[in-house]
Amino acid sequence: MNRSGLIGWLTLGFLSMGMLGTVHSEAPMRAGVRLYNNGQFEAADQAWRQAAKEAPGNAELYYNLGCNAFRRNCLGEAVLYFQRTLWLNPGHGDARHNILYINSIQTNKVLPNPPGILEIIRDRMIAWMGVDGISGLVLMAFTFVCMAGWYGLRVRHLPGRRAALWFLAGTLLLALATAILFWAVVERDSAITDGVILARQQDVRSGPSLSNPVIFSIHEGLVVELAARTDGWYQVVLPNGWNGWVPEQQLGVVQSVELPISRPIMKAK
Amino acid sequence: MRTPEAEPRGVRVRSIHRHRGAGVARVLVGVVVLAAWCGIARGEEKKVRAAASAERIGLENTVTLEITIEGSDAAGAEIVEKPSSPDFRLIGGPNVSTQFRFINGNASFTKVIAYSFMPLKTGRLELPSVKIRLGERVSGTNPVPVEVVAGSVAPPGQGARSPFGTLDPFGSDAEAETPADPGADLLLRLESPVNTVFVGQPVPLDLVLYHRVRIGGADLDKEGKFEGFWVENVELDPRDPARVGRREHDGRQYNTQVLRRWVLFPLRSGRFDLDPWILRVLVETQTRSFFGMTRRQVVLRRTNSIVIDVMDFPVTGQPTDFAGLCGRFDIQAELDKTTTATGEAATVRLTVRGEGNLRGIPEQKMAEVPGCKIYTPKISESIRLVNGTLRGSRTWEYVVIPLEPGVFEMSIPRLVYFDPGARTYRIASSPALRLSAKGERVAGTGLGNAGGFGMPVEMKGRDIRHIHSGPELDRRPSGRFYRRPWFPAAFGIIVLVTLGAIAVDERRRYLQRDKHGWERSRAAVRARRELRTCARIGRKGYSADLFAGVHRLLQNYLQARFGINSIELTGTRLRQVLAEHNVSETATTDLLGILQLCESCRYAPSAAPALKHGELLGRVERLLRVLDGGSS
Repeated sequence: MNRSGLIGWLTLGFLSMGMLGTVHSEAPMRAGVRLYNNGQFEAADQAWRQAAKEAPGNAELYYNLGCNAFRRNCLGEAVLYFQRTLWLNPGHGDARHNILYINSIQTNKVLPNPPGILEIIRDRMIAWMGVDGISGLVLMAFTFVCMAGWYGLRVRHLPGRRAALWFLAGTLLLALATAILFWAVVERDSAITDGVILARQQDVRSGPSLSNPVIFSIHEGLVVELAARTDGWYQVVLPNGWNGWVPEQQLGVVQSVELPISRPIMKAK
Repeated sequence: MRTPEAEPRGVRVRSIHRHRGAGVARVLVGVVVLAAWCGIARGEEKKVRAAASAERIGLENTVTLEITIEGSDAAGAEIVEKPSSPDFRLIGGPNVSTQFRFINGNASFTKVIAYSFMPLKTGRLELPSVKIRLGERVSGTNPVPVEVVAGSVAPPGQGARSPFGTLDPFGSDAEAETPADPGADLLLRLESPVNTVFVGQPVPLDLVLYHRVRIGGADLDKEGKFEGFWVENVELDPRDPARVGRREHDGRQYNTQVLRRWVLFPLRSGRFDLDPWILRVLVETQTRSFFGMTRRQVVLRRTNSIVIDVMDFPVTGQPTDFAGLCGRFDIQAELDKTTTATGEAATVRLTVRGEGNLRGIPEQKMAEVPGCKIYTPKISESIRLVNGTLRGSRTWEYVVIPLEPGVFEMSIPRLVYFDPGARTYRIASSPALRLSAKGERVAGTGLGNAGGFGMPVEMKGRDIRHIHSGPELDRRPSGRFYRRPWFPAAFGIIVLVTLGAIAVDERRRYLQRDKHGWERSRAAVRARRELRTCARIGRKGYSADLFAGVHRLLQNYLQARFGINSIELTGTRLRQVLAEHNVSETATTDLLGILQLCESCRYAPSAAPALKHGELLGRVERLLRVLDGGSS
């Protein structure tokens, strides 16, 4: 085999491997859709879990996992996946609808606290522009501030300097607002604040060990605030202010890409 | 708690002793205790016996079962379990009293336990056995026979006592005046004007208290169930004067009070003995004491037996579509408009009015009309109880939408009912309604098609939304921009670019303020650029172009650097100006030498002296460095 032929075969081999890799990562997603539509929810769960391990952070994939968990009568898992979808994409209307529907049929009726006005603005902006859009906006605002500063310096001895100063002040205000929004987005991205109860019924104890007394019980699907973590236990706070400790394997963290342990299909109540 | 006939002699002995002095009492107590212990030590025989307060009672009366335990250890007797019997209802007890007797040096205790029962049926019945624990031994009493007859029986003598005793705090002083059961002076009755009805025909029923004694209050002890009937409660107005009055019963006048009122609707045919109701009544009687104290006594009263015969509907003449409706009814149907456009809704209002079991009217279903869509009706009703029966109306409102033009005739379903007064079946009907529709056929609809405009949307179920399978599912999520390294680098670049722009701008401004300074600084840059051009020309050797280029370079430099025009470029002038700028004599001489060389050789390059390759340009470069430095 001559040299050019060898190079040709090597190129073809690399291209084939690349294509195979692409097919391998996309196949489980499509297979999951097909299995779900056929009513094979366990198999669909396995396929989408594999896809989620290969490409974590896909909001649509978590949404489908949530629908599948609901069909498997795992309400806790379903709420976790839908909450995660909203975490990644606050404008996901279907996930929001499904959460409201599950809230209407779940055991615990502890109503979630309504979000504050700043949280609403933040989520609306993320839903509208996306996190990357807000990052770009911050970069653009910074560029404008720099340009305005440079222009202000340039015309500081000229008659039009007052207009330049107003322009500089406006861009500074805009940049400040954008920076605050960006800070809120980064904070939302990086903070682990919410968990979802996965166990059918979970005793909440007064401390992080089984020797502490049970103070109340909660049921699957309840969204709780995570206040602290120690030795495999999470301190959870309910929307009504009650708090206690729960083993970490009994709840799923919303702000994460880790998948909870799958449970076998359950008969509907 | 004991009748005087049954009271033993020991009680009288005790009452005599009670009036003696306290010192004597103390001595006696000591003697009694000593004697009691002696009796126990001798193994005195234990006696347990049971007796009823009356051998014959009425179904509306109560009876007391008294268990008497005698013996030295009677005080420790305990009931093992509550007595129960299918024939009697336990309504009170146990009421416990203890007595001590000391006769002829022999001491013994007596304990009396009393239970009150109400009979549930007539006949020869037995009061249940009661198990009692005495020490470690459990023994049972014998069942006590009691004859129960219908109605009420006045108790013998002073009559049976209330199972709850007296509430008078001076009870001990009034033992001789124990209140008697009011007997027939207090009755509880269920009363209905009709005893024979058809299925679905209303039966008015009252719960009435008859009394010839003073009543302090009453509350229900047991509510009866009206099985086989649909029950409508009638709210009684407490201010209604008709609730209380006077009525005659068994030849005696009573004060009466209606406690409850219902209208029963039989659900099936048969003979129904209504479940009895039991009322707990507080009876107040005046004592014959000097102070005229009021004695209060709680007694139970049970309702009389009342039987309702419910007949089935006659088979003869029964229409096939008869659905068990009983009463008197009328049906009326109307359209809110007779002409409408296709796709627009009209309303058919179908109203059934009358009296009887209105709630049992079956749903009136309108027949399908080709070319029209008829929706599920909205049902409303206005029903109230008047004079022991239900009166009012039920209305069905149908939304009808014509899907194509034409005249549609809607037939109204007929209503078949049984008139109990006339004992015959009747039919209520209304003429068909006509609806005229104009306009085009509604797009996308055919005959009997459910589609169309302006039709209400009904929610029939809820579920989660379906999975997503679009291209967004295949999108590989990229990491956040702000987490990538170029994001902070971009900020740094923007800062650097801005600072650079400001620096360049400031320098330009500075140089613009000093024009000569600007030109001076530009002269060196320009001279070196021209020098590089000359170097490219000089690669091929010394030529006229090279010498001309060097000459022009130096001329331009001297003009820009020192302000010497080419016209005044003479040796004297040049020396004078360079001396003013502190340029050394050597450099000046070298400059003049190069200028002369270039001047002469640019027209005759062959006349140039033998110069090494690059020597001329090297000299020019060194000269420029010297001249630049000389200006500082």
